[in-house]
Amino acid sequence: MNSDHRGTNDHPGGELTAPFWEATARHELVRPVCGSCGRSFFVPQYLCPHCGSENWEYEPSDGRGTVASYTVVHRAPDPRFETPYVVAVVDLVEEGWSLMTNIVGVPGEEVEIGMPVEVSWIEFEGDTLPGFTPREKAAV
Amino acid sequence: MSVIEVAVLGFGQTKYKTSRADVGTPELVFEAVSRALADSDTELRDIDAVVFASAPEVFEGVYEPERWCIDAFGGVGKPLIRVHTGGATGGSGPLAASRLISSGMYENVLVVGLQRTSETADAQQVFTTIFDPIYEQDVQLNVITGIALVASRQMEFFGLTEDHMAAISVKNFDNALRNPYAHLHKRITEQDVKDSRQLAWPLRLLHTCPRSDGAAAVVMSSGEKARNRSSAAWVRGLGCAADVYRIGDRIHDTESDYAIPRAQAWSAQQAYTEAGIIDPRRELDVVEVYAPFSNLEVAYYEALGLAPHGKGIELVETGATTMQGDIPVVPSGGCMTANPIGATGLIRFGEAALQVMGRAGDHQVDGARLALATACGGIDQFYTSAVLASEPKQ
Ligand SMILES: [Zn+2]
Repeated sequence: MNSDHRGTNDHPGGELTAPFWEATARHELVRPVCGSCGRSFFVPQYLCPHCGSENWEYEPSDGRGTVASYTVVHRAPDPRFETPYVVAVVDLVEEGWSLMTNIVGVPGEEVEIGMPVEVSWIEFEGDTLPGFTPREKAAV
Repeated sequence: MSVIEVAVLGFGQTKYKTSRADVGTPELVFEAVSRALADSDTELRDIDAVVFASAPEVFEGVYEPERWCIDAFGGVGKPLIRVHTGGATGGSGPLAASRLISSGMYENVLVVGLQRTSETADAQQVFTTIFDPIYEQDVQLNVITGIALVASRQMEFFGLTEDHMAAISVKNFDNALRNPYAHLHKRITEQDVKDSRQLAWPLRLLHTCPRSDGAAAVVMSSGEKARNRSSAAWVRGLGCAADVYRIGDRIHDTESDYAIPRAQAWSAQQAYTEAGIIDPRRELDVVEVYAPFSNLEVAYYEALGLAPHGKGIELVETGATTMQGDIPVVPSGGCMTANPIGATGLIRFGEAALQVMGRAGDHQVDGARLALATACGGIDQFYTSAVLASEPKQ
C-alpha cells in the first residue's frame, strides 16, 4: 500500500490539471470559469457541471473565502504529518466555488465556521499547495 | 401477471472481533453461511445463485476473496455475482438478490458478506486513498476527518452537542450488551465518551466504530416458498442512491447542507414509496441504521424522515430511539459496536429481518412488524435502504 500521497510532486499533467498546479507553483490560485453560464466550479473537469459546456477557462481567483466546515485532526493518516492540523472546506463565496484545504497559521481552537480566510501557500517536499489563513480583521 | 414477492428466510452471522485469527477466511464465511442455512432450514443444494458482498480487497489481504471462499459458500456450478459499493456493499447484496428473485430469474439466493479488516495494517491509511488524488489527498483526509466535517456543521447549525453524541454512544454500547455477536461488550458512561481520545474535533474515539473481522449471510427466497414458513421477513421496499464524489459539492445544497446526508434520504424515500410508508416515524417499529459515528446517527434521523429537518437532536433528548422509546434504533448495538465494513450492511439487513420475525433474542423489540435497514459507503456517497415486514404485501 503506497501511502505516500503528500508532497510527491506527482500531480498529473495534461491540459485539465497542469495549469492549476503550474499556477500554485507561482503562488497563484486559479479556478475554472464557464464561458457559457459564467459560473465557477472545482475540481476542473472537461464539462461544466452546472451547464454541461466545454467552453471554460482558468481565471485568477482572489483567494478570499470563508470556512464552510472544519475539523482539527489529532491523528494523521500519514505519520510524516504533524498533528494537530486543520482540514476545512473553504468557500470562495464571491466567486462561487469551494475546495477542500488546510487552515494554517492559527491554532485549531480559534477556527470557526464562517471565519474569513485567504489563500496561504504551503510548501511541502517540493509541492506548493493552497492552504488558507485567517484574514486580518482590518482587511475584512 | 402477479408480482413475485421476496422474503428473507434466515440469517447467520459470526462473532465479531478485532481479529478472527482463530479461523481462516473461508472458515469465517462458512461459519456465517452454515448458520444462515440452518436458520432458514434450507439445504445448500436448494440455493440457485450466490451474491457475494465484499468491500475493499486491500482489507482482506487477498484479491478476489470470492475465489478462496467458493467452497465455503457452495458456489461451484452456480451463478455468482459479486457486488462492491464500499461500506454499502452489505446493503447492495440483498438488494441485488431481491431483484434477481423478483425478476423470476432465481428462486433461492444466498447473500454472503465478508470483511477481514485485521489483514490491513492501518484502515484509515487505506481510506485516505478514496479521496480525489489530485486535489484532495494532500489535505490529509480520511473517513474520520470527512465525518468530522459533517459533525462541525451539525453543531454550528442544528444544535448538536457533545452531550447528544455521548448519549448515542452510551445507548448503542448498552444495546450491544444484549447482542452476543457484538464486537464491543462494555458498559460506558457519557463521561467516558467525553474523556475518550480526540481523533478529529469534534469526534472522539468513543464516537466512532471498531475495526472488526466478521461475516454474515442471508437466505432469500420467493414469496411462494416463504408462505409455507412459520416465519419470514418480507421485503416491502428497497432503495439505492449515489451522491457526488466531492464533499465540497454537497455542502451548499439547500436540501441537505451536507449535515443531512441527502443520498440516504433519496434511497429511503424510494424504499418508503415502494413499501407505501407515509410516516416512517409512526409506521416503522425498529430501525437498523448503518451509522459508524454517533453524530451520523442523528443526521440519519432526519434523512430517514424520523425527525423533521434540523430536529434530529430531539429524538436523542426524548430517548425515542432507545430500547424503551417508540422507535428503537440499532437494538443490536449497530456498527459502533461491530464494523466488518463490507459485511456491516448485511448485518443491519439480517438484524432487521430477525426483528420482524421475532427472533432477535435479548435485543428483540416487542411486537416489531415493520423494520428499516440501511447501509452507507464511500464516505457518505453510496446508500441503500430496505423495508422488511412480518407479513407479505398481498
Ligand atoms: Zn457552465
